[in-house]
Amino acid sequence: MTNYGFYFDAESCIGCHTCQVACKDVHDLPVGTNYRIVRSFCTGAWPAPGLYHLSLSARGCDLCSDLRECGEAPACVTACPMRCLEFGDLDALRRAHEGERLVDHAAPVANADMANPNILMRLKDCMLDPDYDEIII
Amino acid sequence: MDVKLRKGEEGAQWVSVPCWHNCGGRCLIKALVRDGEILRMKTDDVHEDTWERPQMRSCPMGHAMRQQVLGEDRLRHPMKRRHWSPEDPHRELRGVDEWERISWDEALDYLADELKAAKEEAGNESILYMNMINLEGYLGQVLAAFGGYLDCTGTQSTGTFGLANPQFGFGELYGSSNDRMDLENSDYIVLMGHNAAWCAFGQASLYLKHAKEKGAKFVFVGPEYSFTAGFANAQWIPVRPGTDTALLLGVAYSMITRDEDGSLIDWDFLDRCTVGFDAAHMPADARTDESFRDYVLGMSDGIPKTQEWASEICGTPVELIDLFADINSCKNRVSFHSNSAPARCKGSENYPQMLMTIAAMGGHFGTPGNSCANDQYYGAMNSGILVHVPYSGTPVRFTNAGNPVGKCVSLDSIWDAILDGEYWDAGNNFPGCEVHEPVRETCDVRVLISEANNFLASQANTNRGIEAFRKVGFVFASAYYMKVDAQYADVVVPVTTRWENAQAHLYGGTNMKDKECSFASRAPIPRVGESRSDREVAAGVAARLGFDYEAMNPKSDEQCWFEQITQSAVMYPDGPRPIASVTEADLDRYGVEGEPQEGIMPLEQYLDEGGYRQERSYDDPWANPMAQPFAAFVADPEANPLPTTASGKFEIYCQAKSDWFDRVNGYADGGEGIMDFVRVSPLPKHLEAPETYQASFTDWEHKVKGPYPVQMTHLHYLRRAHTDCDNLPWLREALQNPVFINKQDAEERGIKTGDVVRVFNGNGQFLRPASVTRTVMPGVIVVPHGASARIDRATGIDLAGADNILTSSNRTTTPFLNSWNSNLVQYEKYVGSIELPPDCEMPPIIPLAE
Repeated sequence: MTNYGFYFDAESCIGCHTCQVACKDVHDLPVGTNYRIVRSFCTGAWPAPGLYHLSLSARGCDLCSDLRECGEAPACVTACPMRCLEFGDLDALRRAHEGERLVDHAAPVANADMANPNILMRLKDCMLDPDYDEIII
Repeated sequence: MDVKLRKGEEGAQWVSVPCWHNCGGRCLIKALVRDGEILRMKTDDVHEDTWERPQMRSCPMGHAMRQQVLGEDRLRHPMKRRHWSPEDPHRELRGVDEWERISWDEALDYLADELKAAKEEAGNESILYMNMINLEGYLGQVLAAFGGYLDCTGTQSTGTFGLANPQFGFGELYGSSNDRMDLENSDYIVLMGHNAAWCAFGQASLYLKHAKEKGAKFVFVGPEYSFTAGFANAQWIPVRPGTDTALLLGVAYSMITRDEDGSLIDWDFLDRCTVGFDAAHMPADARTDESFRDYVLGMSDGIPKTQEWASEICGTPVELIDLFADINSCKNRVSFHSNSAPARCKGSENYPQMLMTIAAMGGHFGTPGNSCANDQYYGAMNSGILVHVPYSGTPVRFTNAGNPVGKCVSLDSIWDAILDGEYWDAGNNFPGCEVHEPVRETCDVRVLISEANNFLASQANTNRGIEAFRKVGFVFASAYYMKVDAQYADVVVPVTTRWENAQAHLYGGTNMKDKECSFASRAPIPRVGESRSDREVAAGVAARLGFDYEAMNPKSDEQCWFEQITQSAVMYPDGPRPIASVTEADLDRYGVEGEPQEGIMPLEQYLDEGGYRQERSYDDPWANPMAQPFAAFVADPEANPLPTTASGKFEIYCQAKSDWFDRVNGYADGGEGIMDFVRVSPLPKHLEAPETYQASFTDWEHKVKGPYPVQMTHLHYLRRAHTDCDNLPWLREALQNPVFINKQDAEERGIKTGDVVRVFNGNGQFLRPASVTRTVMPGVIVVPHGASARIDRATGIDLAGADNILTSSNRTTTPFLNSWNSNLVQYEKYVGSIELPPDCEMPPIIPLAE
């Protein structure tokens, strides 16, 4: 049975929230309901910080089953301006990204705490640093 | 097109719609439309996404755009303030009054009557059209026919890149970076305040991603480690706002004193391609004998511009100044991409020339991987024109030559001019216009007109602006939502968006887009409420003033829309090739004038696809190394001199630049200067100025801080295109508009992320949630640009975090210079009684109860 999930390239994410807003538009979600969220974090120390973002499925995300029935990809995937998101069978995604350092968690978010734990993330080094601050944008 | 849709979407069609904002990018968006309703949006999916032809994917604003067009806060009817009448205007109630519906006839009658009264009582100069050299808008032409109006000028986005740059070598205002196919050839990509991820949406960040994957390394120079820097894993060179010239002087010192036989400095480039670097290379027209080298080494003023000298001013650690010098070495291929943010500072008059100088010292012009440009937005990382789109929109643009009133007020001091009744007029710095010595002029502004702009939000010193609005006799605004100008107006009329009215676009035409693409869109939505197009408004005003509008402006909006699309062409070396084929049937279908033509694809296909993107290759004509900016000049400067400089070379010593500034700043003919206008040397010297880091001290030597010790700078923010889109609920939710503050500074003040902070200075105060971060320099607060002020009536505190609540007016250092990025403020954890809700929970502004 196919085990659907997302691939997320944390090395290329600019934290623009396009994925979140595209999702809201496609599913006509009211303020207060998000099927995808973006969180931003900084690490390191002056004058050499690190900065990374996580785009994560939230409760309600079913990988746009309605769009997939029409032959379209999930809204966030086609919207991402940095081409960070892919979807599909997790094993197939793993094979397609063989050679990349892939993780399923980051320092602030354990895999078990994710709404959708079926995620492979291309590692950005600073995202495993336990010394981080979450920022709002 | 046989596209499968979701259940409930039957009968809907995908339509390419314009994304028309002044956001710094341009992308392709489509709306799924049925019976005038938008079911959802999508972005470019026309072609397979490749490096040679990337899809033109939207930012978050494009996906939220139906909230702008069909939001509940769209204006639907003409209105006037409840307590306003021509006889009894109650000016003090502007901004705090209620609204009542009026008819279009009433609204336009009021405007026409007020214009006639103002002209009769105080002359045409008493009418201030809040525009700038007819940048956009239809009313300028009508007002010019009526006898004219007081116009405005200013550098706006360009900062000091808009002042005397051609004289020393930067002839192209909007950038001269190499073609994007060359970007990966740079060993180092240096981003000078250039947060492309937020200020140049479109594909600039995608180009940076490609270069990153090819091994280019990045440097980000700025007061904050921006989201672009974070994405690129850039080396941060921190620099305080407005001190970039000092930093680069320190880098120059480092290079000069540490160079060993050309290990850092490209002496051959300096010799062949520049003048003014040292005594042996002074230009023929120099009226002093001070060379750049003399100045940097302290031989002329006794102050060597050492790394320590620079660091004291700019805050950059000394070792990073040396690192920057090493990166800039002629042994590396380096492309510099500068935003204008460092040039939108008081005292930054020499920054563009200094940037050119530092790049020249490393030889970074005109060869593969080497470039230096102000490419801050639309053409970021990819300067030039490959697909040409003419701007054929509003009837008059970029000139006020038809305006019998020749006077211009500088946007930096527009509110002061209105309140004080006088201002310095130095002419107009816009290309094609004239500047002159500053002349003290008087004015008596009776009527303010806000058409396509939002000056109370976009220009400095909003509180002073509100005073100015409340002083004049009459304020008129056209708007599609209650922009700030409309909130403080007397009469407001609803206008269509470009999804309701097909018209040509300014942003998206000519150089206001990536060079290799163009867009074609329709207006598929019926007019909202009683909205009229801007052109119809102008025609209504013209009729009441006694003019035949159709004779004045014979082209319909649809004609202009059609022409812009059908005149778009790929600029091949052997001539332009139109994108759209046009037939007689097309001309009939749209009811427009024109000729059939051969193009790359049928017109309807172009409109359906929504855009055209040239498929690139590394060996196409535009990627040719000799086609890049300055390539011919660098290869043979004698045969290919720079067309805009006196010497034909890059002028590190530029007499013409100094003379230009002397003239407009009041130093010509023995003048001693005016107000805060600076004396600008032929060399790129450090300048002192108001509201800078140095000015934050009452005692510089002993480092005693004054009352406003923190520097505030702003950044273009993805929730807004300048001040536009601020009201869209999904964007207000996703992007919370915090203030970004340094972690140590925050800890000293007891502030954590999420706490409400009050930011204040002598111009005003606002509240915002804090975002405490390691990515902002100490002593700096970063504010997202463009929020619309929401002023709490009881306290006068702005709840929205509008940057211009805190910016000063009338303190700038060259008459035309908009220097928003020089601000001194203080901030503290807020302890008052106001409960600040998240932006997405603030009520929308809906003036009429339906």
